[in-house]
Amino acid sequence: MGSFWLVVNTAASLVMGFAAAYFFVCVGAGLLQLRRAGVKLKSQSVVSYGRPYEPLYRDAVLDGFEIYYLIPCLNEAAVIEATVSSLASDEARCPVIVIDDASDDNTGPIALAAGGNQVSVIRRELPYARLGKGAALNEGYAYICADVAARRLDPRKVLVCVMDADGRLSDGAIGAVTALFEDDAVGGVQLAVRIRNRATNFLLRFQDHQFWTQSSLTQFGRIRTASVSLGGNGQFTRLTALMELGDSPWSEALTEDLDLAISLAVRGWALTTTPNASVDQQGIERVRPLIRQRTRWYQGHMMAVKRMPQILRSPKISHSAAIEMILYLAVPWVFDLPWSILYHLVLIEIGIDFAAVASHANGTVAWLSTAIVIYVLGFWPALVTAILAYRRDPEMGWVRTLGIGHSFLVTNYLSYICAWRALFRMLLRRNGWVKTVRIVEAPTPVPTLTA
Amino acid sequence: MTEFPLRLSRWALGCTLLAAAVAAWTFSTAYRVNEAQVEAWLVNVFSPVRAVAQAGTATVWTGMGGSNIMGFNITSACSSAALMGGFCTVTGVLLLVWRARTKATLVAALLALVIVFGTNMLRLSAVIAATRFWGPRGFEWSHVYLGTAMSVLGLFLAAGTYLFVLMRGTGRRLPGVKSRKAHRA
Repeated sequence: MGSFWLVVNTAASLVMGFAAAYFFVCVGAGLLQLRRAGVKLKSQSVVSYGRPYEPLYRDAVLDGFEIYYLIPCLNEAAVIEATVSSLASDEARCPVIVIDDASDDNTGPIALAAGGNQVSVIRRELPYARLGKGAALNEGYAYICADVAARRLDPRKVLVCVMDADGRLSDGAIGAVTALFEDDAVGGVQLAVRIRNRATNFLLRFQDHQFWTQSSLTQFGRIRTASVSLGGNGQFTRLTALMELGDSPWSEALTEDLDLAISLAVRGWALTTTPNASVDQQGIERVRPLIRQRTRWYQGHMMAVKRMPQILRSPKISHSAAIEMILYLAVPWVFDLPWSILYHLVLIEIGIDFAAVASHANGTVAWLSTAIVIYVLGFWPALVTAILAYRRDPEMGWVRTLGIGHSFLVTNYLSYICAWRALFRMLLRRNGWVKTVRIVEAPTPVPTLTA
Repeated sequence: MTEFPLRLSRWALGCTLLAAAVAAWTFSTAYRVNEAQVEAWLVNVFSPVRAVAQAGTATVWTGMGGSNIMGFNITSACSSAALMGGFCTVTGVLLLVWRARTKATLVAALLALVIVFGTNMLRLSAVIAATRFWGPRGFEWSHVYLGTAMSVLGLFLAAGTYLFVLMRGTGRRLPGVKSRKAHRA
């Protein structure tokens, strides 16, 4: 029995130690980046959304760059109008390409009406439609390549921005992004994600915490290794980088965005992000659809592990970026799945140890101090993330941020369920793709800007 | 150095580290005996208490020459052998399967091993001190709580240092940010 607990303890220590170290090294590096650049953690939280061309960070927002927006859509009538309206601008005149993946609703006509002649709708029809987001994006990409050639544009100065149909870029986002692409080595930029309807319920607040605090701070850390992970919303790539990947830069993988990030990184392109721009989107209001979405993400993430050899072999990727990406790809395999078992074994062991110690603890002070020590030991990551969440968005208040920080006790089970479901789906070779359903939103007033 | 000798040296170092990991686990008793000797030395140097490590065993006797003699046995669970083996394995595999920067990888591993070993020695010292001050209750407390806290912190520091050294990046930095214009929603 002793050797069993020794194995459990060693495995738990290694898994937890490396996972916590990886997370906090990335977050620490992110905080350092922000500090050196003179950016406050909370600065992004005071920005509003819907006016991406405002010259907040640069006077010449586009500065010679041409941006093509790609919006893959499947039954997005509820949200597409506001998205297209926010991207269409009489001054910037950036083409907005809506790929209507055989929608049953009026997505295409609504998009056309909202964006006028800046919008092109590519209608895909069954059975050649609904084959995944990657396939839809590739169709839009072919259109862009043809248009760029016809207009004789320099592909190095052409950026492709993938947006979700419910996405809104933050005010001044375009200027912040084009500034990063002035560096010829940069092939991709991913914006931090904010959940727009986060105030609705706890589940949405939790998703916002994941994106806005945990994910975005680690992403800032990855600026140093130039291995920022790409997501499906607010994803900017340089056309020349995409052209290196052939006719279909987006793969059929369930997480085609992660796959694209790996493809670009192994070819030596730097992937980065900025604290001056973000994108907001709808969160998922109910547990069941959230589990479905996260299971898809987990499955895509877990299947991307097969690309590890490519990362290890690539002579163009830096050592630091390779290690960071390997660790990131390994997270579901070496953290989520093992920890879902080890965590419960450690709880049992703590219970046994506690019984032994409690037998010696007499009086309120002894019990209280025992409880405090157990709390600090078990919840220090929650305290750290709560402090970060508060600094990132002070409007949330201490009580709410502490609650969100401690919610990992419950929300970890979401990860465990999704990771195991993803594993079973992989074993059963199920790679189906279920689209996230949108919610109809009340129109948001366009904010006023005063200098 | 050309590619072939470089690869050969990485292979040799990787194999050596894997062998060290196997040795740390297989000969954990001998490892614990050495830990006991180091711990006895630390107690003698940094405290007024006299300590000796019992020859051939992983036991540290403290309070020698006095009336309150206490023996502490370093069990497998209290030893850093398993974690040392873990770090050696990870580093060995890195060197074997990848073109890892040999120097950085070895520095990372060395620092992590020093932190793991040092933290465990500190933990053992804390257990000995607490037990000598507060008796069995001090032992339970320091062993379970303080010891666990120190182990977690030590491992976190070791893994963090390890990753930090390995991931010392491209030096890419966020460009300086032009201050935002006054903005009110």
